[in-house]
Amino acid sequence: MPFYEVTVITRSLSKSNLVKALVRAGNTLLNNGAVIEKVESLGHRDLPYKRIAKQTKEPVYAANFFLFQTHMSTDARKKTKSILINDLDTVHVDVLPVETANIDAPCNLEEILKPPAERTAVKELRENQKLGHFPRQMIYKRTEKEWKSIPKSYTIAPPRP
Amino acid sequence: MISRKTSAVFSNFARRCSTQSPLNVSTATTSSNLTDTSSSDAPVELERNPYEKEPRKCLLCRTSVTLDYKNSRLLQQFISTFSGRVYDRHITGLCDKQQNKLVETIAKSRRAGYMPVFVKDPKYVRDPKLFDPLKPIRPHSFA
Repeated sequence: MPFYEVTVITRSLSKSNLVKALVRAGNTLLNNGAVIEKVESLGHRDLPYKRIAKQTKEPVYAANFFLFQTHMSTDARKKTKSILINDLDTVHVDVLPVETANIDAPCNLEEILKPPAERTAVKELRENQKLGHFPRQMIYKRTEKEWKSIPKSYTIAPPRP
Repeated sequence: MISRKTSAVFSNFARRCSTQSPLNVSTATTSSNLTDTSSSDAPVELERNPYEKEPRKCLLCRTSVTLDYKNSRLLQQFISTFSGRVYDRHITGLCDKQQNKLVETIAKSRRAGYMPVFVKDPKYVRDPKLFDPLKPIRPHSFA
């Protein structure tokens, strides 16, 4: 079961209603076979932009943010998300997978700071890049021009001995 | 012929150095090489340049800060005050890995409703600047 973080943003509610809404959200998760590892309150925060509460159509400027850390199947994720989104007390819900053990690629800032002629990426391009029709024609014409500019015989015939 | 003479001089110098300061790393390697070769006049080859500078690292790699989509304040330091868009890597000065991760995380954060989409939050406009957009490290991200 993949690890997901469920962000629940509620509309402005009284404390008792908030508890009810939270318990409802938790129960929907559990009823659909999710395992809740942790529930966290991220506090009463200003929303990044105004949102509209469902049904009452009230504008919401600040709201309670909650975070459920859960393990659930991908089907359960779809189902719970659709349920939580349609809950009247939530303003916004999102279920995001948590990345674990990202591969530690070394920092390549030094490579970026080099001039293009010394960069390995550019070198690779220079050596392995396929030429399109147009650049190939350009190169052909340029070499042809250079070749033709070389005189093949003397313009004035050398004097006879 | 000249190089042989100079190498002999250098090896003598290195031996003197190793006797004087055994703690020095570069001279320690030369002394080990000296024991391998039978003649003391053999040229000394260092394994690596002792004067080589340490490779520079980007801000996030240097400070080992991990980007989190819930930390929208940090993410918004990489966003233009004027256009609300993510600065490119020639301005942020991040390595490829971190820049890709930054763009990904900002998209996530916007989806999850932690961050405004079209603008930078006016609360965070006066946050300390991590870089100067007028002084990019390269003329363009593709250059």
